[in-house]
Amino acid sequence: MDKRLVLLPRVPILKKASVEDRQRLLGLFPVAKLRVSFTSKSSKEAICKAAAKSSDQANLDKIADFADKNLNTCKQHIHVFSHAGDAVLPDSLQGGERVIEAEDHAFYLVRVAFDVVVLAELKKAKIEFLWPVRIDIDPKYMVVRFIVLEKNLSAYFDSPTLVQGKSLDEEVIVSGILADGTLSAADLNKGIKELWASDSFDAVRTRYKKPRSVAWEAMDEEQGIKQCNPALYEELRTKPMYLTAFKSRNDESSIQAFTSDPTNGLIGFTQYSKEGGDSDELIRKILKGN
Amino acid sequence: MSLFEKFLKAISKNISPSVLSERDALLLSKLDPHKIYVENVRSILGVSSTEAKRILETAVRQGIFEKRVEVTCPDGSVAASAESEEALPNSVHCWREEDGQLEEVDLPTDSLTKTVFYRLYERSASPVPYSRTA
Repeated sequence: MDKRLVLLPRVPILKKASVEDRQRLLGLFPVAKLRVSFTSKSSKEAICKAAAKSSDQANLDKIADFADKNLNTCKQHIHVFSHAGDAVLPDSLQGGERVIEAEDHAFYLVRVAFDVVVLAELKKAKIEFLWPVRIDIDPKYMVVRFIVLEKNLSAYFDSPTLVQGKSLDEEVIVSGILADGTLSAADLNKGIKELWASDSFDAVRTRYKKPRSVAWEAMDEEQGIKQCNPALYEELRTKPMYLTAFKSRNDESSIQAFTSDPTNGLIGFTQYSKEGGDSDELIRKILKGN
Repeated sequence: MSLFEKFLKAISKNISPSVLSERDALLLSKLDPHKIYVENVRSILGVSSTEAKRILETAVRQGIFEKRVEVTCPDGSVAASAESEEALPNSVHCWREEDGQLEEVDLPTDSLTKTVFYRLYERSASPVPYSRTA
């Protein structure tokens, strides 16, 4: 566990959660990480079931600590905000609670409910998740990281399902965080372009602003813009960039792809990463170069 | 013989010399010989699509061009290409925009649009660093 990390004594959201809630929470994480943390070689389902069983405080603390430490290995949507040094970590989030707090970050769980139709029976059903959110803060930036919840919930019903709606989404939670007026979406164009210049990643598609229009470029067969279209790369160096996908130029890299909307302060990890530290490092590089 | 000369020869060989003006030759020279669509040739030569296709197919039979097929993702981007539909992978990697973010998805090739294109036969082409989509 991190130094200066405090597991809050009252974590009712985890305490009140059902075994199934905790099981589904753990199921959001890669099996390799579950096997290491819960010292088991069993299947993912078996590990989650066993680890979720107890509601003893020690077990709840272990689950919270595991989720906090391994959120960075999951598919993530990340919102980066700038502040003048006066922002503080929120005490709670819309629909959720702070579960862990440390000097430089806090970890939250938000209860979100999905309304689905189970297609085989044409029956409406509801399923709830404890949605992990982590917020890191430094003197310039606040970084809000959401795990991307799977849109296909069929596995939870052993039958094809159709999602009809959910009780809250990232936009609602982010609006709550922005409510006190100390934060604004960070402009990441500089940091993203410095990372791109370093040749570790190349953009394979991008939307960008031209003086009189918005242009969109998607390279055939995911070739890199910098490598295959240097003239466009040069043009993009001075243009505000929007939603862009980057692919690693190194097959051995733990992060093979990420996305960013630099003008709106967004970063996304679209795949699980072997080592969560690599996604942290990539965010650090972008912010350092910004 | 330069790549452009080979390309021009391949095109002009299959149409009447009077049809190919200096302007046409200039426009043809701006095409990427690694990726030529029927519409590129049709619009430059001012012929019908059928005629443009005939010109390109004749060049294929003569061994100057090769015919290829590409599969496109729902947003129109090209995911993969091969010498025939059968040779395309069963599924391809696409990006999908959802809730303001990009997501990666694998889609079955059968469900996606395929487009035919032509290129100078590889034995006569040399690699170029910038592959312009025509």
